[in-house]
Amino acid sequence: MKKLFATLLAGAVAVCGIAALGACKDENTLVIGYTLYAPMNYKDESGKLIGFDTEFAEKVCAELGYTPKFQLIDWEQKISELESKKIDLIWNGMTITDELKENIAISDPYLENKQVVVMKLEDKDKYTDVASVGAAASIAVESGSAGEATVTDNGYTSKLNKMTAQSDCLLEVKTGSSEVAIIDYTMAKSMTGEGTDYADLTYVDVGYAEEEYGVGMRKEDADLLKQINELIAKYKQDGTLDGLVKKYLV
Amino acid sequence: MTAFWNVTLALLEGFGSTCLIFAATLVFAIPLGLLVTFGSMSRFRPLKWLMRTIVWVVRGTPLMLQLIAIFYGPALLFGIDGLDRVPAVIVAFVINYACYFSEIYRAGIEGVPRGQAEAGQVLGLKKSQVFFHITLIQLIKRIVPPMSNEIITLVKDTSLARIISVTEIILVAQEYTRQGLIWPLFYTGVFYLLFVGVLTLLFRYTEKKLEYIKI
Repeated sequence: MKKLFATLLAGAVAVCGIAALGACKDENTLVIGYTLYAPMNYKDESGKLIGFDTEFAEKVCAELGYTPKFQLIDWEQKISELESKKIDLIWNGMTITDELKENIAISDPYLENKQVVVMKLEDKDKYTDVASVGAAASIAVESGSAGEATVTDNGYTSKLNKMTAQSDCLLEVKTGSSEVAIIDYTMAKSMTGEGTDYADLTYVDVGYAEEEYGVGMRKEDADLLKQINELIAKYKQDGTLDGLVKKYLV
Repeated sequence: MTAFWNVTLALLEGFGSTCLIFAATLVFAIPLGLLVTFGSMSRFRPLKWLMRTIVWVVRGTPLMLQLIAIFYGPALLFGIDGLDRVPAVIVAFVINYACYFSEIYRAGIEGVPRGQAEAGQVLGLKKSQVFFHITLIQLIKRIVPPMSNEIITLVKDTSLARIISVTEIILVAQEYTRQGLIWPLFYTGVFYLLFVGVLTLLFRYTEKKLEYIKI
């Protein structure tokens, strides 16, 4: 019996040891939380992480003297990840909203975005303006996203299908589980239409209010916020951001 | 064809994490479950109630919630760094499964007629001797079918690890879906089916080996 307990104890110690190993963090590393989606953060043919935000974050980190470490996160856990210091930055085409600003610090906007409506090609003439989208039987949005806010703001009463990722909304529309989806323009542009797996889908800009992307961080990291804001201003001036737009968004 | 091959390789890598979580959970939860059983069957009341409360909490809340609590909880509540992703998953799974296993063990132990233990005592055997030489083998035979069930459930529960971004096989497939490739998600089913198929054969073999014991 004693032997059994000793073995168990040794096992428990081993688990703690493994746990402690992973816990150490480097001062000069900024952990950047992202989810995979084109064109902001995605992988190229060789499996290398690229995209607008990937390249942008790498540039900023290089200039500030940090090593960026990209950590895949579940988008719904982004605030928990940040507050528990598992990540230092949320940098993943995050639309700036008042609700988010209450909980975290957000940088100055670095990119314009808007919500668009994704639908099957054959529905193209059905949904042309803000009012007609309200007639859709069901709308897919990412839970907690700007798309969901758009539905609320416009008072749509269609059945709302809340997904865990914007890209899942595309699958919803493709399979017909949802009639339309409301997602970011940047994503709709790069993931629908000819040459993509969603070639049978298209998107329409029905004229929702414009919005902006920002980088999220903890409120106590005021210095970092200031540094990043300065760099965003600089990159807007010297054309770095325009270069990224041309590379990934046009 | 190369796409199929690349996806298979990527999924296999994810399946490695799945297998790691599965194996680590079994290795630690099977003995830990036995400790929980002894605790919850103890004649020392406080220990018994403590164990039963733990079992109630663990079985009474979703594993997904436990994962989030164990991974983010320490940092959010006490500001300490806490566990890394994979260790956090393993700790959550071990605690969760130990509690389920403990109830199966309890059923197994209580299923052995009291008279046998009494007979052992009359013959001068110690309590531990009665357990290891008389009860244990009958217990094992009794618990193989319900344990098989739990273990097969465990294979599929590992997919919950993606909630805290451990790249197990479903998460790898979802990455493809998010980039526009849909079939890998359904293809993961093949991996699970094969794995559970092997386990099923293993359980059947174990049951056959234990057939000689008549209860």
